[in-house]
Amino acid sequence: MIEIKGLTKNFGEKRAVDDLTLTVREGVAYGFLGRNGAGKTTTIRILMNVFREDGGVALIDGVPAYKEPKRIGYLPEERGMYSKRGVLEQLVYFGKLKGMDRETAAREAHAKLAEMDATEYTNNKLETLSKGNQQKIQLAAALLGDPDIIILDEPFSGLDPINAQVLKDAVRRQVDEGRTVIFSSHQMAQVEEFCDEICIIDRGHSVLEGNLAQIKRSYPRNKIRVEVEDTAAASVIAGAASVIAGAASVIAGIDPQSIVSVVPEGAGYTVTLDDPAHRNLLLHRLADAGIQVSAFFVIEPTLEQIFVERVGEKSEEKAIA
Amino acid sequence: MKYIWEVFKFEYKGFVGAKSFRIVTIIFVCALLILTFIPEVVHQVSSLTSGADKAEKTKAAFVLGETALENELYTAAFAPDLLSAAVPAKWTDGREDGLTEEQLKEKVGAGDYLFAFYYNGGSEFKFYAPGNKITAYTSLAPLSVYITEVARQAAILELPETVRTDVARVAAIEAEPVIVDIGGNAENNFWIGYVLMFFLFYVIMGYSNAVSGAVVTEKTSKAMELLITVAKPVHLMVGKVLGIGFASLTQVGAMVAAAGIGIAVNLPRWKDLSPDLFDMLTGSNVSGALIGILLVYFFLGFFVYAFLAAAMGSMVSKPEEAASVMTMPMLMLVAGMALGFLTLSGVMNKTLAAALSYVPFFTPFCMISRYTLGDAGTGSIVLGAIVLAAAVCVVAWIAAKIFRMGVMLYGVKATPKQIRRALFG
Repeated sequence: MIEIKGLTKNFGEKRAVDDLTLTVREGVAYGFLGRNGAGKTTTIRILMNVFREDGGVALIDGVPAYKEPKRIGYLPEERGMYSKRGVLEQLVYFGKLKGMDRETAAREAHAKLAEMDATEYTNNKLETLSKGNQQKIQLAAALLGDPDIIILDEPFSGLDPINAQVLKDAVRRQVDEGRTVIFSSHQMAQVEEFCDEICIIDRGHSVLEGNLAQIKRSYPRNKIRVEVEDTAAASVIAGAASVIAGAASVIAGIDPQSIVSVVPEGAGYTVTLDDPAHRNLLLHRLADAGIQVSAFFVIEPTLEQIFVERVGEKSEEKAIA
Repeated sequence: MKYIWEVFKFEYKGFVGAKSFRIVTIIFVCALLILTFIPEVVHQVSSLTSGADKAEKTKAAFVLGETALENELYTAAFAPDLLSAAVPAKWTDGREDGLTEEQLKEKVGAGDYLFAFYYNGGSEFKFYAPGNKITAYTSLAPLSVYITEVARQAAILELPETVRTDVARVAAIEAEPVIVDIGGNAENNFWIGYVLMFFLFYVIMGYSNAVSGAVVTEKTSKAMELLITVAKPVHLMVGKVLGIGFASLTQVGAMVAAAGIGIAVNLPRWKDLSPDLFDMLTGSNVSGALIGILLVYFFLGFFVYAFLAAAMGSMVSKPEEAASVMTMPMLMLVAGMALGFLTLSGVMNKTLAAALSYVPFFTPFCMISRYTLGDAGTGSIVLGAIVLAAAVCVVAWIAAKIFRMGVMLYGVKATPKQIRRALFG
């Protein structure tokens, strides 16, 4: 388990990390989100002992993180390996610096290259590879020694879809094998795809942390997606405002005023209610009205919406202040 | 130590395996071999181009005048065999062909002989040679020495019996130096001192810059961020400096070996081409002790400057900025060499030279200068090495602190405040 308590780091007058507290449980995929300059990379670099903190602590299983660097596989945001050296040569070198003997390091290097679908580049110089393939080699280096904790700082930036998929598969395997994966990014879709828990950081401190599904459920569930199979029914209730309003006129118990908006989208409608408790009534009344409902579900906010809302709120507060 | 060893191997292999390193080494080795084989090349080319002509052109002849022919000493001394031993040439006695002085002159003009002389006793002789045949005139000096000796013997024989022995004894007096080597023969080592100064300067300068360049390159490639998470900065820095240091020794060793082999193989030819240089090479006091001292001071001096270079390199983010931060160490290096030269040339007061030889950045130059002059004994050499080794440790400690801070600065140069904080917390 990783615990960060009251972590603070200053660069001159600028406070990069400001009293940050978060907990990463063992075996979870953890999304660490924030805008550029929010303090994500600085926090990770403190965990990796690249920087020392000015205040607070970063612990791994109760031990200061700077004493446990070899338990962590690290893919830095700034990609860095030796462009003029051979792929295998430098993977073996990194393996040995992680404490392996030569044979083990070589065996591990071959295994990771195979895992990354990059065996054909074993004897190539790094500079001869495409950016995507260099990224694979870098991830292979991070995974050498099968570390307990894997920190990936913007792992998919600048990758084409095929290489991104190869890397995603590799990361997915780590998650499935129960390793703790910290995923730092501002690409929300990817974090949403991988992560069970998240922390949104802004101006150096946490603005939201917790289980992603629970966070989503904590948002008002008053936005409903309604899709209808019966085109005739749809034509009967044609017209955006009249779809549900028309239905509502025949639905006893629902005040048409409780429907905030009805927006047609594709084969259905997005209905916003003033009270989430009305959604069951809405479904019943639609059925009673003889409208063939093919889909009816609550629309949860996307991570991107949550992020914009949280970080945007803070920005507005700052602006007002 | 394990991590230093791993970094050392990786850096050494990378440096020695680089194409530029191999090309430069091969070029220098070839150039040195060509340079040391020049006398052999000159000899072979001369043999090929001259061949039979050369033998023909080194023909020489002489004619003795009437007065000289009456003296048995002259007729005996001017025999072709005896002359050949003193003045290498294929000599012809003009008497056998019945040549007169005038005919002798004509034959030289016709090219039958490269040169000739006419002698009729006394201290004067006539030397005939075409003005455009410079090689003929190289024989003039030994010929003069030979004729002078013959004339001197003849003159002694003409003296009264009573004084002849005394005069012969006086004429035979020649100074005979008795050389007592007291271990500090400055004349023999003087040129070695200069060679070593240049050697140390260029090697330390070249490879210190290589260290700073390697650190900046590592920062530019961002490999440092990954490295620093798996190894301590001091291990990275020491491994890198050792790796490049031994790579430099490999390169310098290849060059020195090439030069040594070339000189050893061609020593006899060097004697023919340049007797002075031959005497300098063979007469100099290049002892095992001097080589040992040079190696110790080279390594310690290199490490002082290389650790400094690593720290300097860590403070900048672009290769083009490395030159600016290396200015100060390079100025100190130049100052060290200049002080070494001043010590060697005797301009420097000996007490001041001794004091400067314990200032770490100048020690490699000043101490080697003093040693080659015979001014530094074993105690001074050992003390200088201890001072330099201590300086290496102090500079390495300071450099490690700066390196630790500097390698993670991207896009900006380290400020004095940051350096102060890195050093003193």
